Amino acid sequence: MLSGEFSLAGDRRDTVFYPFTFAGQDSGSIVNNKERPHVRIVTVLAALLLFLTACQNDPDPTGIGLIPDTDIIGALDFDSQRDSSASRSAVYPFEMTHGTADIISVGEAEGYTSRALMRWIYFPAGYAAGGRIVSATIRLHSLPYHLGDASAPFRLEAREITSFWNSYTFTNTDWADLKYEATPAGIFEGTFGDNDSIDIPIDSALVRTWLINSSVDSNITKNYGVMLQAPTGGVRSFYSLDASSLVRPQLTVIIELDGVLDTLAGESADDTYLVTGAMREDAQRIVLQGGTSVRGKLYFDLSAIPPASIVNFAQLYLTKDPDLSTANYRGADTVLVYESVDSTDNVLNSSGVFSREVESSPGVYIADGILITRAVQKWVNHKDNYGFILVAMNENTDLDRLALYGADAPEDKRPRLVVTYTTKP
Amino acid sequence: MKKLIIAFLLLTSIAGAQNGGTVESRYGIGELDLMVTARQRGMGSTAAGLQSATDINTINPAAWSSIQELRLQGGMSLEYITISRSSDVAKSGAIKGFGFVFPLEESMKLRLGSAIMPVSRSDYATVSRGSINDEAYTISYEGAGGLSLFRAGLSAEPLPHVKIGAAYNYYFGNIDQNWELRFDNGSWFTSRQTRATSHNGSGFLLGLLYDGMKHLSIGASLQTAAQLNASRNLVLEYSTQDSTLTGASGKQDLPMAIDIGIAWEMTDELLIAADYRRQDWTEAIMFDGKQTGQGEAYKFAVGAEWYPYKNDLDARTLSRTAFRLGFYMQQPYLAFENYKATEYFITAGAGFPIFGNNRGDIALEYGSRSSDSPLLGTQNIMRASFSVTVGESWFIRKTE
Repeated sequence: MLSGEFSLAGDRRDTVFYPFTFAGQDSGSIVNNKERPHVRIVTVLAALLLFLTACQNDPDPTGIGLIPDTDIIGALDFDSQRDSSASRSAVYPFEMTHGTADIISVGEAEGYTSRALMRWIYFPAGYAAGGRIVSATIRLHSLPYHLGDASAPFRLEAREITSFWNSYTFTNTDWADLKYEATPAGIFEGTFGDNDSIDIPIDSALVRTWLINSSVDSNITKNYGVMLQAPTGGVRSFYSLDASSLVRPQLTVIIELDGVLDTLAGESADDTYLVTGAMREDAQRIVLQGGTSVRGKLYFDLSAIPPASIVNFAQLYLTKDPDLSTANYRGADTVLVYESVDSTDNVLNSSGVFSREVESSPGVYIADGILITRAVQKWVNHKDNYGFILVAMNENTDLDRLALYGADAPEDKRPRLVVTYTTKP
Repeated sequence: MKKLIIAFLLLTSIAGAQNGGTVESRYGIGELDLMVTARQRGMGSTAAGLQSATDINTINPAAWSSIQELRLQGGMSLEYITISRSSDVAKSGAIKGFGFVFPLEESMKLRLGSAIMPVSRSDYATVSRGSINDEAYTISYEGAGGLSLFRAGLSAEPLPHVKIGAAYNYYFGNIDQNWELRFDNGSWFTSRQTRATSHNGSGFLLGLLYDGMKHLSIGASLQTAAQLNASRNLVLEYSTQDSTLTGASGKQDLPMAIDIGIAWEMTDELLIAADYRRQDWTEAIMFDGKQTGQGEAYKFAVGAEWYPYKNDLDARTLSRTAFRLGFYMQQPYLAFENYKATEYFITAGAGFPIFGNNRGDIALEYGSRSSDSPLLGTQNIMRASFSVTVGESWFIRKTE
């Protein structure tokens, strides 16, 4: 290459060289600075073209006839009822805890037995060994929900619990290990209304023990509280310690110390309740039971939907049997529908769908939306199809029964799954 | 000048993002690009026999030897289509490539040329309506993409008046077909499916040009047949936020294309040119087999270029301004239900200096594409093309 100073073409008369020869040649590449108007012309033209190309076209039905038939797509539907596809349903008991329930139920009726556990761990300091306990009372506020005759005399017994229990983990299987005194430490007997309150007097010796334990750090956990049970008068409901402070159970101790009467309130309270009873397995029904509880399983065979089809929407229809259903508590007319993600342990997908009643068909519930759609999409894509799990509304608190027609019920009443999907090209 | 180049490239890149073809481009590899410059379009898209010191010939690489300095060239076009079966129109803008020719050696007029250009375009959008269980929906069918090529080659004049050229073409590009089914209620999941086909492969472009006869040059070029690798994926999007991908492989034929052209310098100011191009798609394999509806494509073109003020030394700019006129008839390679379409275009254009040896060219085309098929109808097409060619003299020694 040449040595010396080089530059690109500029406003001078220059000599051009080629990389493979030293022969010079006049390129005539003279820049005329006075020819700028052409720059403006180019710029304007480019801007004009830019403006004209900034328009977008809306899709037009013209030309749809040129799309080959093999590439035409559309929406189809799968209807388990119309297409007579196979389905299965069943019920199963679910061991649940009631530590977070805002309602506790106590009593025996219609084959159910409900018992509550309740305790207060802390008490104000300074009263452990001194003073005279004048009285100790547990006050419960009642709710209008009950099984049996609410006007019948109700006998509620409180027994000292002598073994450890945890409201968040205690289930019916733990009853056998729970220890309690045979003799009641307190009894209420009488009648009361729907929104009333009852006071259960508690043995002062028991309360003294709680006061002493409360003052010793190592003994705090030994305040196991009392078990409430009612052998007569049906099942009655009360607000639990998770309810509003105005109506939650209260333990009130009146103590005389140095001639002065003080009123102590139990603190750091904890409660739960548990219901036992036989699970109903009615033919052609899915009977969901709150309290105990009993859940339902529902499975649909979706092999009629081409694999990997895109599911646009899925709807599940459930028909209620009003004769077998009860409304002793709130009688909620809705079902929670979950995708089952495990067939052995009946594990729920974390989010469920509330069903709603079809306006034009009273007694028919529909569950739909993105969660149902996604569950069905997974099954269409041949990922594990464990079906749906049905849960009664207020399962944690209401001892109500919601009976739905099962997969072996008459065709027009059995569960129905309608899936809208798109064909593939 | 550099600012102008940058602005031009930015503007063309924006223009290239628009869509607006017709459903016919869904077939084959889409609508084939003429692959000619704005100057050539103005002359009825004649090219094979044309030589120029400023315009890079994109059809015949042998013509590169006529270029005397480094030439950079880029172009864009705007298209406006009205369809007889519809009240709507299709508008689009597209980059028409970028290339350069670089002189390497003068005694044999050895030139190095390279370019990136569009080869085809698949660009359409159409809709249909439907309903199921009283839920109405709209289905959109859209296509996007096309093939492009990267070219690199050489030209030379080994014998007086005999120019030859050869270039390697690398073809690449994706063609997507998209489906969308959307329910009017707005709450049901919208189905989206995409079939994407990617292509790549190689071919060659050979050119020959002879201008030994007085005022006459004859040119011919051969684009060799190429078999591209094609890979196709179908992607389905689900409400579960995952997707399914199924794939397949195949081949895509690009048949051989022949261009023959002649250019006659009738007077010092007037140049007449004519061209013939042919490419037979009848036996071309489209991914998994021969696609029905493909046939022989050919084009007849004539054009003229006139410098009315060429010898007027007092009119510096006008003396370098050219006016062009042309006509071409073309049969595209796609035929539906055995109905072949035919295109007729008249063209006009102008070329003018920007400054120094830099030039701009504008071409306007108006024509129609008609077919006896009731599905196709008649399309009236208007096109505007614009290109800029910039001359750079490298390795210049400053004068004292």
